[in-house]
Amino acid sequence: MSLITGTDVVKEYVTGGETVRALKGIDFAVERGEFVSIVGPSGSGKSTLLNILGLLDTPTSGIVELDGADVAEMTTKERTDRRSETIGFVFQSFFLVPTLTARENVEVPRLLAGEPKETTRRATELLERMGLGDRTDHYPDELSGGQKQRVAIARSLINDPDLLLADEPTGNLDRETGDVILDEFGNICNEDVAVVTVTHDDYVADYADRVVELIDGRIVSGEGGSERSGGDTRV
Amino acid sequence: MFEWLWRRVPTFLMARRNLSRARTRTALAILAIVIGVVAISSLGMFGVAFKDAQLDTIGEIGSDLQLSATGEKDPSYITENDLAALERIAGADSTVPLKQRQMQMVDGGDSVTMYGVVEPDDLYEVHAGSIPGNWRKGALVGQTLADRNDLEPGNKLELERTTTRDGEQVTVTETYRVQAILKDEGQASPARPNNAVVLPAEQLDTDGYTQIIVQTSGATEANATAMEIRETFNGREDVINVFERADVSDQINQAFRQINLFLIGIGAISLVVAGVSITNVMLMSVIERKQEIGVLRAVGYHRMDVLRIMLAEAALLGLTGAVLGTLFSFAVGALINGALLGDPLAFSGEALRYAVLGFGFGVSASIVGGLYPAWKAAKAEPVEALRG
Repeated sequence: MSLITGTDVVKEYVTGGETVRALKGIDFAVERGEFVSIVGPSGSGKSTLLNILGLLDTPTSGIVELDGADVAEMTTKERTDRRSETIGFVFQSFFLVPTLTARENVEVPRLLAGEPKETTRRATELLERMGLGDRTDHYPDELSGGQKQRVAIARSLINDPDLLLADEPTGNLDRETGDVILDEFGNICNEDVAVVTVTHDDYVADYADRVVELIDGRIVSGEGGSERSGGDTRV
Repeated sequence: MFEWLWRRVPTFLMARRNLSRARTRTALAILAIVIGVVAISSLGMFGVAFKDAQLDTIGEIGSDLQLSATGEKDPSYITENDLAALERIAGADSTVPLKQRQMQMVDGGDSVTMYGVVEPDDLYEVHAGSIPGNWRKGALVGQTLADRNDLEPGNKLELERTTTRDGEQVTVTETYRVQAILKDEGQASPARPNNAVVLPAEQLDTDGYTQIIVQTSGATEANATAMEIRETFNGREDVINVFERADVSDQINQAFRQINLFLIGIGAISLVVAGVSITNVMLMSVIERKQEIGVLRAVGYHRMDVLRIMLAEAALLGLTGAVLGTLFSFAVGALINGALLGDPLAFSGEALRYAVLGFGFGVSASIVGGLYPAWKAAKAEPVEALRG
């Protein structure tokens, strides 16, 4: 079974009295362990799709199923729980808490879960894996952009997610640092975690198993999947 | 500091770190709470100390009845017969008859009140010297009068008064030996000795008694006795004036309660202002941290978790402010006690109650002030918040 699937997903926003159709009926499926890159010009609906994949938003119509469960039928609380259990987020601007150290930032998603010792152990292990073993007690303003993004990746992995969503993960980084981050995503996929990135950068696509192109709320091309192609419904 | 302890309560850990972000703003918010708590506690303490100081001056207002003849009475004093009747009603032990007369220090000196008393032990405490067991002569002098005229037990005291004898005004001088000096009493004490001379009743050759003090065991008893006395004596005409001191005591207590309520009201207003400043500070902080709160929601924090973190911030501001404010209040209270009561540490139970009230009010004003910003933070949709 696919990790997350969408059928005829439509998302509409009302802005300034006008209804904007950000997604115009798309089908997608993401499998465990694959690296999918969603590309497209701005305003094409990439971020909307990412928000729906991340259970931060629900479609206006159509069905999104996470592990076979319909997302629309979940309460806000259930969606929050599923996010914490299944999904990790990496953002373009890192969004680290400036008053917490690198390790504490990694711990944030598990901070309220109790068992602080186990959480600290796991956070330290993840930072070491990201090559930041000597930066655990540094605050975000003492870290470089690449280091911050690696802290953010460590944070996204602390709950052992099945799906890692990255919004322009290399957008604020130089090419070299970006390569390091993308290599890391490759490693994560090898652990059976699905990675979905949204990006402007074509070069990110080089790392991806599949590239899906969104234009104006429709999927125009995607390796192994296309808009309403029937049969193969993978993104 | 205490990092391991903070990690036990992660909500407070995050709250505390957030507060450390804008130190000046946090400090000002705490200051507002401190001022509010100090206002409530120290104004309350001031009220209590003021009341205690006033009661010290007024003296214990017990459950005594003060009886005197009214203008309607003939003769215009309380006779031995009246006294006997009163003793039947109130009991001889608790009835203290008093005679009274004005005299002057010799050579046109100050006016001095003379009291004729049968059992001085019931009314007075001795400061120096002693009252003989069988007290027939010799004067007891109030401390103020004694100090003013350098009198000690054993000294002679000369007083004069003007009287009419055979149609002519004559000045009579009387000499007394001082037996004891009496401790000064508050304004409310019957037959106040401070500036007076107390003689055995039979030494004061007035007609009848000026006043009778009836001592009872409580306000209710005093009232019952007063009713019975009025019933017995005041038939067609009011001849005996019965003054219930408990009434005065009630009125005074009432007045002090109102003064204190007024003071606390002022303090409460300043705490409300402090609560508003907490709301302001936290709203700013919520707006600044919008994206961060969005991230928390995205990584699995429930609305209630966000609400709790924000309320924890408000509570930390309140607790810090209340602790500092209470400490400061005790310092202010000590100054007030020192000034009004002469003892900086004279904190009564009532004063401590105001400290507790101020503390509780400070913490709750903060939390109430934090409710709206916390709710606003918690209800934000993560998608919106992340967009910034």
